[in-house]
Amino acid sequence: MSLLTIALIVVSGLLAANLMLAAFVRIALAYRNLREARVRPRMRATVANFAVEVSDELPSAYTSFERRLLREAMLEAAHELSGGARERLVRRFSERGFVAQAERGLRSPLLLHRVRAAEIVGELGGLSSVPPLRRGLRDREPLVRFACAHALTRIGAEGIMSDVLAALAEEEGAISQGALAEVLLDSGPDAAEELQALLLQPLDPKQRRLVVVVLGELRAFEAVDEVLRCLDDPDDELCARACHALGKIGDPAAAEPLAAIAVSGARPWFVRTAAAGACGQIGDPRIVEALVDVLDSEEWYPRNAAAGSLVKLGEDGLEAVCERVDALEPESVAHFWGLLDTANRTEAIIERAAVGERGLRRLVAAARRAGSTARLEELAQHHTIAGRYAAATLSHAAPEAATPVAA
Amino acid sequence: MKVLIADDSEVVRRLVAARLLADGHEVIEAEDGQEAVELAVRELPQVLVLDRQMPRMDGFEVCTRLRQDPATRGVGILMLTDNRGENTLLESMERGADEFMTKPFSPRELSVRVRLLGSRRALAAAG
Repeated sequence: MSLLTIALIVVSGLLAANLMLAAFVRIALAYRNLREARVRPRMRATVANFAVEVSDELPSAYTSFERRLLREAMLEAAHELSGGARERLVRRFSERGFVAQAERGLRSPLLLHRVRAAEIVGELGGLSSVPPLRRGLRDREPLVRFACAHALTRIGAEGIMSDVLAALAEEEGAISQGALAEVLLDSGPDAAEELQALLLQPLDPKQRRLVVVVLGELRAFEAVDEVLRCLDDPDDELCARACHALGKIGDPAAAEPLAAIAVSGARPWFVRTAAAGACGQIGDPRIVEALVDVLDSEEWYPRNAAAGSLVKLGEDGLEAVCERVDALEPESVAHFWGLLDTANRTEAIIERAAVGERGLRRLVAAARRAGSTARLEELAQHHTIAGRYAAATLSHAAPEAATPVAA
Repeated sequence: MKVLIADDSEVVRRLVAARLLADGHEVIEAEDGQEAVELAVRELPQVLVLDRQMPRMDGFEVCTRLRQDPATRGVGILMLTDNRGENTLLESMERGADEFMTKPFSPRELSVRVRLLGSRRALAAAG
């Protein structure tokens, strides 16, 4: 037998073995999918009956395949349930050893296994899971640390906030600020007190910023004094986040300090923009005068934020914006016209402009120039004074003020 | 009482159906909004447990269509949604939903609400 023949036989053998292996893998996968399709609905139905107290029995699961499907069915159901049904599932989940199994999974060499294990423990674990999750906060992978932090806040154990905060603050950059804040928010409204206390301690700047964001999201009225103190902090990033937070909390006590920051030239533009925007969220009309000065700012963002806030601060604010409307950019006009429209105020403004209010006529004309014409087009369809005025404004020939006709 | 469950999640349908079947109701299921409207017109259930976000047609649109059709106008609608926001609640009410619950949900609460909603609707139809 020649060397070439032997080589051909070996190559053909290898090829055949490869094909057989591929066929075997495909058949095995198809068989597994088939089994899953058959067993999963049965598992789901039995778990549902157990959860809603129709039955006391869970399906028997002898093989690792069956145990996996049962575990998944219980997790899926627990995710959708609250109250007694959830507690019942949580208890049985632990009794079946699934929590202990997931806690062991936190030490798996595979990244995804550790993340999944943390998710399972967070969904259905209890206080006994806190120590392994705390160890997970020091995992070498950010995703695992994040998942463990989330699991800890979901379990809601006492005294974990400081560790969780430290771990989350490390992830800033790798994981978005919103996602990090969401983890802390899962601790619920009681977290505000613990976070407020942490803010009084000497914290790392990243941690302070995160705490301030979460206090704002929690609308933590009781933490206003601590957040207000952050406005004096030399860290501009912290100050900007404190402005956003105070806007969300909405305590009128914050209005004047925020207006002072918006006007002052001591802070960079993004801090002044945040302060001016927060003034509108608080809605205290006493700061109109201070905020009007920001309309003269040479920077677009603070000016636009001030205009957006002023239109929310009643008639005086609206009047101040109308007086300066010709000096504002079309983008800025379009933005706050949109705000007025969302608040259902543009129709009344056009009606008042139609009967001769000069400031509002300037505002409507500016809105048309900025391309915000939807409401004008809608009104132009009607045979009313406002309709005729809207049609004329759209055709660039605003008429003289009309006189309301008596019915 | 005949109850239609419309939810694209099989897990939620199983859980709701298990509770309602145990309460002695007849249960029918739809996997999307379009199927929910078709089943509601054909089967005329007394109560509809309706998810908000579904393929093909969302829960709000299902509400609107059922309220516009004289044959299905009287069905009691319980919205069962993921979103606990004020806007979703208000929009649900404006579209004609009678009850509003958020997920995760308590099967016991759902059971009571469905029973009371069915009774209210039956009284309204009789009176």
